[in-house]
Amino acid sequence: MRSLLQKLHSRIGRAYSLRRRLTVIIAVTILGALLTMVVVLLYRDLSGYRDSLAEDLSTNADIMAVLAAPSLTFDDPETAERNLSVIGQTDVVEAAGIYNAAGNLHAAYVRAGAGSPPRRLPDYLQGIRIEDGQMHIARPVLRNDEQLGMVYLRAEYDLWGHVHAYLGLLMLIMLLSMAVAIGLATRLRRRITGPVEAFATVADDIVSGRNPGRRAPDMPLEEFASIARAFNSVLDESAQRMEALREADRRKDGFLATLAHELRNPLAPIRHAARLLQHKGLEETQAQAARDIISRQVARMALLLDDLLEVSRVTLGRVELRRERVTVASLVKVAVETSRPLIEQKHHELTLQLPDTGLELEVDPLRLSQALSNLLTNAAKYTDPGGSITLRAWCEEGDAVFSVTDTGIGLPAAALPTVFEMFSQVDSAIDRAEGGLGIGLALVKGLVKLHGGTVEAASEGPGRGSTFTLRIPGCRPETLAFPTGDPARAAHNLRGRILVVDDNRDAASSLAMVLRSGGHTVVTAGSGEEGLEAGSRLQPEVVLLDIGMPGLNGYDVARRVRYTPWGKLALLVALTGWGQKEDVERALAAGFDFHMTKPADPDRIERLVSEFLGSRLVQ
Amino acid sequence: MRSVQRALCTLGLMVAVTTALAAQAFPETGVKAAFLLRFVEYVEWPAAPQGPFVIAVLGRDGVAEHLRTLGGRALDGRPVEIRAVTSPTGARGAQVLYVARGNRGDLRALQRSEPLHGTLVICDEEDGLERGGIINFRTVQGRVRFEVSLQGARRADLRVSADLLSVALRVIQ
Repeated sequence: MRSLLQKLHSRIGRAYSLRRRLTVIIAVTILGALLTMVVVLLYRDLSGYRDSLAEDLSTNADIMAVLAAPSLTFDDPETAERNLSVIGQTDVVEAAGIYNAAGNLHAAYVRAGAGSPPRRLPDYLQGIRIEDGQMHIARPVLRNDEQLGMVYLRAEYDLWGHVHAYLGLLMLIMLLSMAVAIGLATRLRRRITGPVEAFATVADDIVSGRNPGRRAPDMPLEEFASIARAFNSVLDESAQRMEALREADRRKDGFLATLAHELRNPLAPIRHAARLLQHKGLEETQAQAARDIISRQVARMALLLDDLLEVSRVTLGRVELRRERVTVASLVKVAVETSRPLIEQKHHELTLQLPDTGLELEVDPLRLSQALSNLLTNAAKYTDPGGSITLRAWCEEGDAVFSVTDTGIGLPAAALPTVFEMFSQVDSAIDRAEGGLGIGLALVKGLVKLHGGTVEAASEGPGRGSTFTLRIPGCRPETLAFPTGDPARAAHNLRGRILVVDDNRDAASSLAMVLRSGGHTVVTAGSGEEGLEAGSRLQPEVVLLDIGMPGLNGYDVARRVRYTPWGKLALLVALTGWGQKEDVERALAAGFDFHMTKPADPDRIERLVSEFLGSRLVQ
Repeated sequence: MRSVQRALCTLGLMVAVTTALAAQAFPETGVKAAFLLRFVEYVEWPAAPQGPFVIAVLGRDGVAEHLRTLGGRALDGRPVEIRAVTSPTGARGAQVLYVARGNRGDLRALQRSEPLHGTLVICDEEDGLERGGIINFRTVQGRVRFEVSLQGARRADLRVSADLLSVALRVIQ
């Protein structure tokens, strides 16, 4: 039933195509115009017919009246009849009569087949009278103010016959002009419907998938041409977007495979080391080696996941920069320190070319040095051992420019445009032992973009090294030496009281151990309630809270902590597995100062704690 | 006052004549008298003199009898004077001379003599025109008709209207 309706609908839809509609509109318009014309012409003609007939009769009657005078005077009906017969030849008059003063018929004329004039002229017949499809006219015959008699004329007043004849003619004209007008309009209409139909077939081809690459042809009319251009450009754009989406999808698939691979890579050594540690009677050196392996691999995994979370936040613009004035030199120093282990491990030669005079920038030192170190790490990764890496920094047109050049595997020209996109990896790089998710450069780009800067990649080709150049606006000569904002400055000498609350006791105790190694006093708690109790005893300056806990969750604990005397000014850090923006906002709303995703990097926690304690010291 | 009177007179005369014409119920002589008066309307006289409109009547017949009764009436705005004459010459100065039927000798005399200038000679004979009449009554199939001699009219210095000619039985150039 439904399909029948649809079929019907589509058939109707087809029937009322643009072409037909236009044809109907044109035909109706022309018909309307012509009918109006016919009515007007008919009206004019009918009133004209009547008037001209009346005038004809009047003229004839006037002539007759003059001619009839002597014949009436001298009682000469023969002459009168002769005169009448002359008038009869005008073929208007059908019957005529001359009446003497007494009203009796004096002379008559009758056209063959017509009725004779009345024997006596009715009194009422004066002037023009239309009756029974006949027009009668009666005129007095005067001579010297004396009425000698009357003349009477009668003509056929066949209005309907006239209408029929005239209407027939008009209809013929109307049909002819209709045919001509519709023919002409059809030719003109094709110029309009033609392009639209062309559009329709193109659109149909594309939508049905028969020929998705098809485009609207050139159109003769300007409006259609511009529609065609817009139509084509939309199609091109959507095709490009489709291609871009497919490309992104491909990269994501590739990334997932890489991710699985990368996450699996550290798991094997960890599994082996764990199994080794379960072995009883293990020698201390072996145990130590196993622990080292686990620690290294976990660090690597954490780094991987950190990067991953970071890049998604940065590229989505969810990271807020904490700008401060820093020197170029200090940024470079931190970046180099971070990447030095890998550079040294691969025996690369690192050359730094920094400006002689001090330059400073107003940036987020942590983020920008992270970008720089990413570039350095990349250079180290993708250069065979013993290569050379050069880091230059200078000021140019108000921009701070950093460039990292290596002698590594380089980049094919085709890869240059996409190298900064997420999950993109040069094929030749995938096989390398260092691995990676292909997010390092995306992160760099995101971070630089956040600073309003740009990043470019250049390479002379595979195997010929590459150069990455960062430009950050706002470069100026160093105004004064300032000790703050130097991210390298870690206040290791500050010690504090730290409370770690996590229902995963292993996580809590391992983090506590790390923190204790930094000299802090650390207490752990296995639940929210326990944590509040421990807090009131310890009066901690820093509280590291897990969010997902049975009983009181992290948010509840944070809110309660904020109500305690010791908790008002404490640094509250949330540790969660969830790094979405909403999670961060929820944490901040609950009273947390910071939000960290698990596994939290002990170094970052240490740095955070140190900075906090340092700032409190200043206050 | 005079003009009204005159108009009324004319009207009365007309009605009488027209009525006579209407049915031809009048005796033939009456019709002829009425015609005679009507001819006046279709004839132009050279420089009409002041004074009465003189109709001279020669001889005696029915028409003459009728005419005699018209004395004192008005015609063409002038009082009608009926003058009985015994010879055509006696009609000199009259606007109309009616020669009654049976006075062929007088007609012949008229034809021989110098034409009467300005006098419309009307007669009632078979060959009236040939004998010097300008308008001659004829009776055809019981109806009164008339014929006109344009030649005679020209000689008398009279102009006859074409309207009159159109209803004439015969016109002699």
